Amino acid sequence: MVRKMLAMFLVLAMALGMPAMAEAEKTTVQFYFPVQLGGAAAELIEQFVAEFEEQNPDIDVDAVFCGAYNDTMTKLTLALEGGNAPQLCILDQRLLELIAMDAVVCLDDYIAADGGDELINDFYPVYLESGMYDGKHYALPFQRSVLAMYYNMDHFAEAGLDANNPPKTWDKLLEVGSKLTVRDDAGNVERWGVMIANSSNWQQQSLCITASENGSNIFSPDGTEVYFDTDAVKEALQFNLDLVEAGASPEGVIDEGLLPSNFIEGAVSIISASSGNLANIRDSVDFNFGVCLMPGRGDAAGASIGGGGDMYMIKCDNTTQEQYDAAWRFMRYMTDTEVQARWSVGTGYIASRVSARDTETMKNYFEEVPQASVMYDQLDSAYRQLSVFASTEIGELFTNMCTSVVLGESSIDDAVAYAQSEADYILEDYR
Amino acid sequence: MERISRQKRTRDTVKAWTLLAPSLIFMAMFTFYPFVKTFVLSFYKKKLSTPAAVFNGIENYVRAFRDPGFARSVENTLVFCAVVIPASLILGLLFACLLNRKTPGRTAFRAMIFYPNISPMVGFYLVWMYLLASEIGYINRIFELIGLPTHNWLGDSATVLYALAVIYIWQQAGYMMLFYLSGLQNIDASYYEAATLDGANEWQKFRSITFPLLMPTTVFTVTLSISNAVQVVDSIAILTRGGPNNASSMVMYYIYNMSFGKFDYGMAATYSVLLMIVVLTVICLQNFGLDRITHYES
Repeated sequence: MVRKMLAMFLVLAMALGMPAMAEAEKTTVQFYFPVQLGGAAAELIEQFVAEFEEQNPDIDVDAVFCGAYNDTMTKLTLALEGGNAPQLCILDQRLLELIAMDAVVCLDDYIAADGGDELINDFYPVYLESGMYDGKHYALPFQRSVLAMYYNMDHFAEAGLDANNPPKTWDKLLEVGSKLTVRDDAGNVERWGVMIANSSNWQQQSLCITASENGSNIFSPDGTEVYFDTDAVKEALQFNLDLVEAGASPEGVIDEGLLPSNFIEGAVSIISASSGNLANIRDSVDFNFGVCLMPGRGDAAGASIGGGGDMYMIKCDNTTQEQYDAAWRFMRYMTDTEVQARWSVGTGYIASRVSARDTETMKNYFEEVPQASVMYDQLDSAYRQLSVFASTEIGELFTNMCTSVVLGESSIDDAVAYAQSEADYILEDYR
Repeated sequence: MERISRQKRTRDTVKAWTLLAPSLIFMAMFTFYPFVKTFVLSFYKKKLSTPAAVFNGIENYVRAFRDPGFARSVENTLVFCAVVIPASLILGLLFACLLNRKTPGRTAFRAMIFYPNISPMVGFYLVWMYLLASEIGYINRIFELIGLPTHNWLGDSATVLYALAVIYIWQQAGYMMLFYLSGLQNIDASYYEAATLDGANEWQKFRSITFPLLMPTTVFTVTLSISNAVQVVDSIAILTRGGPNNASSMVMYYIYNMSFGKFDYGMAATYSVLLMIVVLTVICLQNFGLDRITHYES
């Protein structure tokens, strides 16, 4: 009886001990990822993880799905406080907050040992900017996007406009927009010409940069200053009002979330929206649509914004050097040319590697979806998304500034001055 | 004899505490302890840039009173409560009275009215977002057909709070109806018979019998209503995110955004404490006030 129990005990101990022994040889890398675009993205991530683990049997990647960007940030801050942070995390562009928390690892040494300039130069510069602070790299771009214009070609034909010649300047947009608006006999609008989201920070930011006509952004690279009280911003806000006056856009707040649905339903002819909406729009429309570049002003090209999220390596006392090294290998894998190409095709994000454009995967994709290649062209005039300290508060100030103008609650000069003074007060602590 | 009764008393006390223990432990862990921690945290400065809390005295409270965003949230909350509490109670009472008789299909009606309360609200909020949408929303399209003015309900500071109120009343009326139904069923039918014999009409019956005897229920539902209305967060988080321009930001959402949007835990704790003081005061006042005019059947 005792022998039987002893034998059972030994077998149990061995069974429990075996996986532990096997795991002792593997390094675990924990990786938090948010999903902003729906189910396909999560499945692809799991596929990439499985392929990486196959190619690197000594690394075990624990991919943890964390909801949206804000939830992921909450989870990360809690994990950091608890002392068991993940090694990698995908977040929207909030490097400054992470630097203030001393939560990220500088990647320069890893980059130098693993490709150096050749590697770094193969990333689009606008996408690298969001991961750089004080000249050093702290993140690699993973799921990036760009803002562009979608237009309904059938509506263009109906209005007697050339569907292959979408508006390239603000003046043209006003003209075309008012022609495209369809009213019924009673004067009610059945279909609007243009909708640019006036409560969306990156869309309004793109207008501000376009209005500057020399590519000046609305914040300083060190994240301690914002430039709201400028002629460029005032002209951008005025453009929102001009669109309404020309009869091209509706009055009031235009919410970014509803633009793709409005476009698909045919309730509007031209919208500005993320490259990430391309797959959904393509699948849902029953008309011919095109993608065009953001309209410019004067001779300058229209500005777009580089949106989306980067992958950061998280600094934590309990993370071992092996884990950091393993995390770098995974990060390198996920930002590799072929993986980025497949990621782009599968989700609609923009591949952050320049060389991805030349892969077979992308070439086939562009043949199938010609509109996608316009998105990549837009990168030539894309700028860094607003990124300063206290980003949530400053972001809210910016949004409120734009909406108070379009709602008529404030004059442009007042709104701009107020936002600037409040922002200065908040950012003083960080200078 | 005395010793036995003392022993029995002790045993009874021990039994009582043992039975209460699970609930007490749960409440201690998830209500009392967090409350004490929050109260303590409200005297510290704890944000992303100061991960280790720094003692701040009453600085947080001073800042709280100077914050225009918070003032706006309080204003919005008061307006919202003033609209939804009477409306959901009156509607709940109305539905309960109508559905207390043996009208055909009353079970189906009760289910339909109560259904929003047990549904996953996130999905429903998204549906509401599309219903209220300016160009493609059904509500606007129906209004157009019948000649009513259409509007950008969620995008206009003047209407957004009322749009949220409508959604909230739609959800809560059923919940209130449930309490009133059970209250109504506790009223002895003999009172109504006596009233009919005396020649009372429906309205007199309601005013003199139903409403007074429902006072205990009303005390409870008003308390519940206030407590729920003040805690509205999810509809704002999904539909408007406090906008446009803080027009739909309510106190609870403001606190939520302060913690999980701006990661300023110190200030969020301060606001939470202030909110709790206010709500407790209101509920106490209301309970003592209504209690005076309540008839309890004993």
